[in-house]
This record gives sequence, C-alpha cells and structure tokens, in this order.
Amino acid sequence: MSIEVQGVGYLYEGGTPFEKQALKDVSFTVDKGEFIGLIGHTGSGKSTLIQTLNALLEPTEGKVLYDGMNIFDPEFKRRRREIRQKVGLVFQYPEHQLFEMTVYKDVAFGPGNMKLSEEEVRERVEWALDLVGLGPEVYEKSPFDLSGGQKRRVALAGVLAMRPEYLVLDEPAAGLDPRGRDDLFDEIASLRDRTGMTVILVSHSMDDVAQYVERILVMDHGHLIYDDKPARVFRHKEELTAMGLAVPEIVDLGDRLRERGFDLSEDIIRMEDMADAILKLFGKGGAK
Amino acid sequence: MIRDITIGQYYPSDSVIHRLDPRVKLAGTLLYIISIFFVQNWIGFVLAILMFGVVVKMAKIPLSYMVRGLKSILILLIFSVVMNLFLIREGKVLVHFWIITITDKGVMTAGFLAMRLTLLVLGSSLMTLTTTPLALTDGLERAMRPLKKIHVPVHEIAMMMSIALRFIPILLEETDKIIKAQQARGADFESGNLLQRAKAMVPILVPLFISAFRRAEDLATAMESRCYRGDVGRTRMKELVYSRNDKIAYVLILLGAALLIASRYLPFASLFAGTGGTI
Amino acid sequence: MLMVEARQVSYDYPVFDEEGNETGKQRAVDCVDLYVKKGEFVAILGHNGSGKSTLARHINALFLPTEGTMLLEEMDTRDEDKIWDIRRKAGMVFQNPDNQIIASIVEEDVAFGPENLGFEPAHIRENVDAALSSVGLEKYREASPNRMSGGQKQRVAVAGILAMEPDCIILDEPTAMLDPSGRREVMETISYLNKEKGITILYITHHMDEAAKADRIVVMDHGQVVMNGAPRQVFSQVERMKELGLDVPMATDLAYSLRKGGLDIPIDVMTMEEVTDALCRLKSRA
Repeated sequence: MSIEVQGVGYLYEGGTPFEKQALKDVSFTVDKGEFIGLIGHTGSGKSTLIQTLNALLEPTEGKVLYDGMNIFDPEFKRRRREIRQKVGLVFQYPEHQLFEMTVYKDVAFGPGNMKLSEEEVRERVEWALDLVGLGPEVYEKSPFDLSGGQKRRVALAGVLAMRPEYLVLDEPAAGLDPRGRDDLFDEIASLRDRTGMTVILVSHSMDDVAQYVERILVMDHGHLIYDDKPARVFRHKEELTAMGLAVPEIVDLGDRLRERGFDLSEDIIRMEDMADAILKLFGKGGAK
Repeated sequence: MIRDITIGQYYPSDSVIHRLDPRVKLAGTLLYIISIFFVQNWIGFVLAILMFGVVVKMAKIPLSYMVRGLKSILILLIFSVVMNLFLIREGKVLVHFWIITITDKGVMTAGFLAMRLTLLVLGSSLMTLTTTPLALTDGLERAMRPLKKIHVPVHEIAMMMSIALRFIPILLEETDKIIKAQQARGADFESGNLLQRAKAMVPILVPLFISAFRRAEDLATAMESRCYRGDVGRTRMKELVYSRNDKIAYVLILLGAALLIASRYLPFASLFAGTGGTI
Repeated sequence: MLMVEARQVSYDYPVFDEEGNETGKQRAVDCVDLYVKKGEFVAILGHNGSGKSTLARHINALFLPTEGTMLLEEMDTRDEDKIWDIRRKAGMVFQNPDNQIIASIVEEDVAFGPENLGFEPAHIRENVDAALSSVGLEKYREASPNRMSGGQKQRVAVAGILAMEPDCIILDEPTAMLDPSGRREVMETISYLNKEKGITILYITHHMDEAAKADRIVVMDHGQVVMNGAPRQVFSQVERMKELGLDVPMATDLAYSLRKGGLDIPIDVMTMEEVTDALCRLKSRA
C-alpha cells in the first residue's frame, strides 16, 4: 500500500509570458502509516505537488501510482473520485469552503458523495466530528456562527468523514493563535495515533512540523531537494537558509552548544528533549 | 481553462502603444470597430488586418498570445459562420446537397463575418492588453466627465470598474481553489442532468459569495483608512495630458478610419464585394 | 508628546438575533488605558477575540469608543472635522494583503492615499517614489500586485500608508498569511521605519519572535490590558502567558524548563544566543 510519485513535472501557463515550471522531476514514495512533513516556501511547488497526489491536477510529465496503478491513466478516469476519497486533501484555510446550513450537513457532504446509506453517512459524520473534538451540541449549528478554530475543525472533519487512507493538510494552522495552533497539531497527531492514517503535513515552518513528523521532504523551485529523517535534513542548515527556510531553533541551539564544547546529540530537535539532555549534562537528570 | 481568457488582461511591456493616452486608445478602438462595419470588400479587410498587424507589432505583443484569446469566442464564431453559410441562398450555387445549399455569396458573407468578428475581438483585446485597467478607467472617467453635469456618478462608476478589474483575477483563482476543494470532497460537476448540475454549483457559489463579501468589507475598511471619501477633493498623481505622440496617433487613427470607410466606395470595389451577413 | 492616548476606552458590539433585531451588547474593549509615546514600537498580543483588533481600529477612528476617549496626537477621534487628519497621521495595514490593495499597478495603489488627500500631482509623485524606496520596492513601480509574493504585497500596503506622510502605523497581524521570508521582509521594513524614520509602530501579532523586537509589549485578554512592559519582563512570566493562550519565544520557554529542572539560569532570555551564553557561564562555574 503506497503512493508512488515518479518523475512528476508540472508547467503552469505554458506558452505565455507567465509560464512557470512549478515541478521538475519529483520522485518519492509514501508508505502506508507514515507521518511526513512537506516543507518549502511559497512558490516552491509544494501546493502543486499535493494536488497531483489526489488527481486534482494532472502533471505535465511523469506519473503518480496509487497502489501500483497510474491514477492518470485514461481508463482510470472514473476512479478519480475514488482516489480523491482515499487521499483526503485539506486545503489552506479550509473553512472558506464551508457552505451548508448546519455543521452536520457540511461534514456529510463528502460521505454523501460516496453513495453510502444514510446510516453509514451518519456514523461517519459523528466519527469525524468526534475525531476533531466536536460534540453533538454543534451538529445543528450553522458553521458560520462558530469560532475560527471550530470552523477549521468542521472543515477538517468534512474530509475525515470520507475515511481517507491518506490525509494531506496544507498549512493547517495558518492564521490561528498560538493556543489554537498547538491544539490543532496535537489533535492531528492524536487522530493519527487513533486511526493509523498516513498524514502529510505541508508547511513552510520547520518549527511547526519538526515536533511531529518522522520524515521530511523539502521542496525548492519545483525540485525535491531533501527526503530524510528530520534530524538529518536539519544538518543542511546553510542550504535550508538559502532556500528561505530556517532550521528549528532547537537545532540551532544544539549547534551553538556543540561549538562551545557541550556533548549533545545531533538528533535532538524537540524542546523537551533538549531540556532533558542539558539537565542531564549538568547532573540534574529526570527533571520531568 | 479559466486562465485562457485574455480579453481584459493586461500584457506588461514597454512600447509606444502602451504609453499612449488611454483616451486615444479608447477612441482608436471605437473608431476601428465602427470602420470595420463599413468594410465590405477584400481590399478593406486587407487594409484592416494590415493596420491591426502594424499596431500589434508596435505593441510588442506576441501574436500567438493574442490568438489564444480567440478560443473563448470560437463557438460563437463557428456558429455565425455556419448560419450564414447555410442560410444565404443568393448568388451562384457551389454545393447543393439534400437541404443544404452553399452559394458563393454565402461563402463570402460567412468569410467576411468571421473576419469582422475576429478583428472586433482582437482589436478590443489589443486595447486591454496594452492599457492597464486603471488607466482605462481613468480614460473612461475623463472621457465621460461631461456627463457629471447631468448627475451621472462618473467617478463611482470608474472606481467600481477599477476595483472589479483588480479583483477579477483574484476571484477567478479563488473559484478554481473552491472547485478543487469541493472535488477533493468527492463533488462531481461533470455528470448528471441540468438540474443536478445546477445543484452541484451550490457548494461553489456559497463560499464564493461569502468570500466576495468578506473581501468587499475588508477593502472598504482599507479604503476608509486611506482617507477615501468619493471624489471630494481628490487629485490624481497622473493627470492625463496629451503628448506629441498622442496627437500624432489621433491623426493616424482618423486617417486609418477614413481609409477603411473609403474602401467601401472604391470604384473597382464591387468586383470583390460581399454582403453584410447577420451575426 | 504622546502619539496615542486611550483613556478608559470601552467598546460594545451590538448583538443581533436571527431576525436582525438588536438583543444586547457585547463588550469587546473594556476600560482600556493605553499611552504610546512618539517613536515607540509597541507590540499588542492576545488570543483571537481578545479585543486587540477592535482597540486598534479605534486609533484611526474606524471605531469610536462607546465610553472613554481616544486621542491621536491630542486630536479626539470623535471630532468629525479631524477625522481625515487622524487617518492620515495614523495609517493602518491589515492582515490580508490582497484585500487592501485597490489598484492593479503598484505605484497607482501607493498613490491612492495621497490622491484622496488632495495632494498636488508632483507632491504625490515624490511621496510615492520615496515610499516605494523606503520599503525597497522601487523596481516594482509598474508591477501588478497579483504577481507579487505576500511579503511584497504587504510592503506595497505599507508604502501606500507611508505616502500619506503618517506619524504612526498600526499593523493588524500583517504577517499572519505570510511565509518565513515574507515575515522577515515585513519585520525588517517595520524596524527600519521605526528606527530610521522615527515612525511610531503599533504591531498586532501572534508571532512572539516579532513581538520580542518591540520596545514594549501590551497583552490583551477579554478586552482588557492585562500585561504591559518590556518584552523581557512580559515573556519571563511564562506561566501567565500560557494561561492567556499565548506563547513565549522558544528560548524563554527552554530557559523556563531548565530552571524548573533545577538549573540556575536566568529566565529573561529571548534568543538562543543568550541561552548559549548563560549555559556556558554555568558550565565554567561548575
């Protein structure tokens, strides 16, 4: 079970003065159950890339295989909707796509498009809203009366209700305040633990994703530059800075301290781990 | 694709045509379009195409880019050509098959009509391609200024147009994004009968309207913050003043229009004539 | 002289029922006293809905206080004759870069403000050129905002304010929709305007690293000012900040954890450099 991206390229507005190579020869494989961060600054091609994963955008070169089948083969055209349900894509500011009169109806839109029985739809809607931490008290509310953070959860549930095997989230915390951001990321991590869903977090912030993911893909100018474990990607500090990306502050601190003779592992990327390691160095271990 | 529409788009480039006063281009386009309706023979069309070609060349716009804009009117074009081809029964019969009769006059009329439509669209898109939307509305505002005396809200109309032009690309992009987001939730916009398809538009239209209102509100606040209060006491950074080039352009435009109109009355023109045709 | 002077400012939003009848009021700003000196750089923090945007919109008379008085350079925002002077002196930049750019060409957008103020064409030209060079966009004079990055668009918006010759700029989460390089661009521009041009800055943000660059931080909660002080002073109250749904810079957060773990490290650090130095000192002592 996997998504394989093979030599994917994409040319925007070809033949006009605005033509732009958004993707160039991108290849990687996503295995079932992985937790991946896709990082790049605006215009690096990451948004274009994720749209090819669920057949919303057909690459101008290369192919995307879902469990071995090319989702852009003409004969699979009818199955594209199926692919879109298996690979759930949550766009940036997803609350801007809410349209129904009630939260329940809006979340039911996705499963409703899947020719399921009413009972099954209900079950999925309730399951999805529960996953994002919303209870029955909001079912009959208008989504437009909710707070910003709640609206975003409803929109997220709208995709989850299709029970995708892969969940791709484009800047899920954009515009939220610090607590809203932390809560949302924690929820995403926990829903992954509960469902075993494969999650791809798309972001331009290393600090946000470093905490959670097991693997990081870095995009720049349409190319896939790095594809590795977070700690190893962060070793390329200069290159990342040149791409307009910063390494997490904790990694930066680790480098500074090692330079000054501290014996700290290069694998430390989370604040809690760094605090523990430093305390241990000073003989104050087990502070937690 | 939505992006293929080039009518109303601006093509940035530094050329004599780009630098002309928008009023000159407005007048020129208007006169050109009117003149084209006077043209009744091949000589006139050759002249009109030549004039168009020269201006495109001067404007430094690739012809292929302009031609792409024609795609959007292709259906209209084909429809009117076919209508004329089949409906005109005068003249020498070229083809006669079942109920279809094609005459030489029909071919000529259809051809002229196609030319006229094409030149009309290309001519007016040339104006928008070489004039920023803002300059265009400026030009319109200035040209319509006398109407203020009869209480036409000229400034407001111009401001509305310029804002519409700024937000059209943004809203198009947004529409594209909403469509994709709903497709990602399994929405189907391609199959079903008319009613089902109309219903399928709801998930696109509701978010689009909400977004447009939100933007309008934000924009109004931003304009207020920047001291906008209608055209009360408002000045302009670029007052429209005719330059030497503009004056020359006016003369050339008048000459060109006169030439196109005159082509209709050339003594030997009847040899090449067709009839008007209907759109 | 004070730039901004809020005396016991309160603001109530009307609340409507489903038929559109007013059923009550909701207090968004509650008895706020705020004094901002000329040339100061003040960051305003608070979770969404804490009233910080509503307060900011009082400064340039977009909102008028329900109770209390708001003065800008000693002009009362309730004084209708002064409203255009107030809006000219206190410009405002908003969150969404797209929704505040009016014109389709950069320099024409920047000219919009001074045009509304009725400046002479030559004067406008001068201001537009100066404003664009202040934000580092002189090369983009004739560009279309639609083809620019978020950071560039926000700088266009800032230039549009600068061209009105303001004394004070209020920015309402200007970096919320930007990527790290866009955020840096905006921050650098704002610091420059504050340090080199002496423009007073009021900066609303959720990014603690940006707030750390301010002279002073004001924290709002439930419409009230609950903390007010130098960044080091405010951020060192880590628990209080987290209670308020806010963050502190990661360096401060780490120092706080280390201190809780029994390490004698100062808590009023804001950068990883300072943490490094503090740890080195500890090490050499040990």
